[in-house]
Amino acid sequence: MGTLIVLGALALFVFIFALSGFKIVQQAEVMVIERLGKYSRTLHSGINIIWPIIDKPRNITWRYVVEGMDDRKHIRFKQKSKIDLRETVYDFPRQNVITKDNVSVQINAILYFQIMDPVKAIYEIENLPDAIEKLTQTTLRNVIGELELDESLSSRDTINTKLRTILDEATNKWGVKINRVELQDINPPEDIKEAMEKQMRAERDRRAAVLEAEGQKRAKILEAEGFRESEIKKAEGEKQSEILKAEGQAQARIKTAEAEAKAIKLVSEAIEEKSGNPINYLIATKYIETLQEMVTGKDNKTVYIPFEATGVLGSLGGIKEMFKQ
Amino acid sequence: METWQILVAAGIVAFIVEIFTAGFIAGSAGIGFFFAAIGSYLGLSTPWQILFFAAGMALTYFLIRPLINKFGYKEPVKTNRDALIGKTGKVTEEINPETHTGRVAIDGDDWKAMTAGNESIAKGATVEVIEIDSIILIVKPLN
Repeated sequence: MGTLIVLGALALFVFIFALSGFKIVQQAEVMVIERLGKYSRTLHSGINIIWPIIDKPRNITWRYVVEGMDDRKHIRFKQKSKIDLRETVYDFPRQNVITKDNVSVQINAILYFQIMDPVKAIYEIENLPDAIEKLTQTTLRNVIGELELDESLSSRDTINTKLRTILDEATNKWGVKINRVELQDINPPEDIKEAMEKQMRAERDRRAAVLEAEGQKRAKILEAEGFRESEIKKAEGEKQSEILKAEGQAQARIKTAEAEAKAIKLVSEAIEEKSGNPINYLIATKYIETLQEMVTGKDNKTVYIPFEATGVLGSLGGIKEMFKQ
Repeated sequence: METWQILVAAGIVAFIVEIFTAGFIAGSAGIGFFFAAIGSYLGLSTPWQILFFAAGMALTYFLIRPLINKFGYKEPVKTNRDALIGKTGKVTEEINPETHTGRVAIDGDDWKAMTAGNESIAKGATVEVIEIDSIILIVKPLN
């Protein structure tokens, strides 16, 4: 009976020994094994055997976010013996950051990281997730604090690159690679938002006013050009008509002069046949014509008699002589 | 119902349990039961049967890993860190050993990089990862 108990205990021991000695590690996981408190080796994927009494896996702290009932996120920390080498995402709670131009903005960031060196991740830093979170938050504060609000809204890529460079320096000794930090949203305070909208509206108004003024300017220029052209055309027309009129008058005068010349010629010829002086005749007729004009004016109560009336009468006498012959 | 039949049945049950759990613990117990069943079939006493059980388990414990490593895996698929080695990327910032600067883009991620020898690589060149030191890639120019 005694031997049976001893053997049973032995069998149980072997069973439990096997139970805790087999370690199956899955792909993309590793296990860090300590032998009597000292780092011994890292187990990779596949079936592994450890010495249960002297070998112990070392735990790592891991962060889980549990969605609560009222949309609140509760962060839980757990101890895990298997270290996940896959890329992991952390969603930070909102945080207030002050920009260069002293605006307090709420920033919501997401972080992607990956453990590259599990030994360093366990032995170089006590609470890895917490450390990553705090480091990212403070770095984010520094980076945003060097930018003005407008810049921080428009240059996420720059922020990301800067963050990565700074974080790489810090997380190198923890064996953790922070692949990217994404800013989900940047929320300026309400009054700043209103001011931004106002600014936008004013800018649009300005553009509208400028466009309107430009339109008016164009219209005025066009109008003036039209006026100018029409005036030029008008003046040209007048000029043309004046020239034509003058030409007409000149031709008419030439024609009358020619006719007069012909008439004088005929008269003088006729008078010369009677051997009289045609000049006398012509002067006399002009005198009489002119006198008629002088008398026939409206309201004309004054009669002009030429001073040399005798000269006129003389010429009249000359005419009388003509008829006598 | 003979004792050895009960033991064989227990072994099969242990293997069924193994299907639903991971780690080959119930499986090794099953093999132990089969050993005990052999002992029982040969007409050995109960203490011997228990001893056979323990011996079967211990054997499994020591022999399973070499066997599985020999026949189980042919070519393991490399992931994460191991997958990076041998990959090629583009230099996004000049690798300069004097100023300790240099960055390489691989698969959309941006890594700090160094060269094994003390040489510098110009921006835009294609490089191959030969080693990883924590999160710094050791690269060599790809000709």
